[in-house]
Amino acid sequence: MLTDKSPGLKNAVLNLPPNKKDKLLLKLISMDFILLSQLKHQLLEDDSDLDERIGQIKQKVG
Amino acid sequence: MKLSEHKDLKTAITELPVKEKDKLLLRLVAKDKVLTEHLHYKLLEDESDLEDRKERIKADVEEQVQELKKLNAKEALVKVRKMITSVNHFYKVTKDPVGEVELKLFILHAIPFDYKKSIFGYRDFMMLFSIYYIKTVAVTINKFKKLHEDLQFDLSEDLNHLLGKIYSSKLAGTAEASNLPKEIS
Repeated sequence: MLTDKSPGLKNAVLNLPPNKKDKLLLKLISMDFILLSQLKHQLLEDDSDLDERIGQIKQKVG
Repeated sequence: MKLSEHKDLKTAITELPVKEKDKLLLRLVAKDKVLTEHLHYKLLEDESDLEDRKERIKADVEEQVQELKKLNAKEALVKVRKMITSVNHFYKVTKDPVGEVELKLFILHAIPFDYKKSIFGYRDFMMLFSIYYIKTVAVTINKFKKLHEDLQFDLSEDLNHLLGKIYSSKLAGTAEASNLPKEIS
């Protein structure tokens, strides 16, 4: 892991200006489809969306 | 799903607590080895480290060139591809287009055109070697042309020297067939 190998790099990344950190974070998240879906579910969806996801899968199977 | 099409999600991520964002950021950076090296280069290294990186690649190439002479074209092609890959990695990490062209010209200059005949398939592998070599020259010329004029000037002598060498070698035919220029002005 980055933090074990190079504490200097960890600090340098954490000390980047907040807007740069946000930009980098958003870029990296957008490259990871599963993480993106996870965050969407965690941050924006509620129980009814979860039911909908379950329903969609049941429909596909059945 | 694209993040750019989900403004609300983008906002929600940006509004996460700083601590959580930092944790996520470090996790994602660590997963990407090239990005990690790039950030190390950008945030912690200076001009002398860039020169070190270039010198290490050159020294490595010089050492391998001695070995190349003992190989057949098939074996040599594997090694030459690895050398070029190491320069591509150098560019991904440093984003230094001048260094990339400089290093590729160095490699293209250094590697021999003559290899041992292997018992089986010598011709084919020599042809594959030639095609790969000429293609790499063409790609390097395109990168060269995208450099700032002053920087082009510094490298043009090297490049023309290389083209002269190719056109007076047994690779001339392959070079001509690929429309490789004889000279860059």
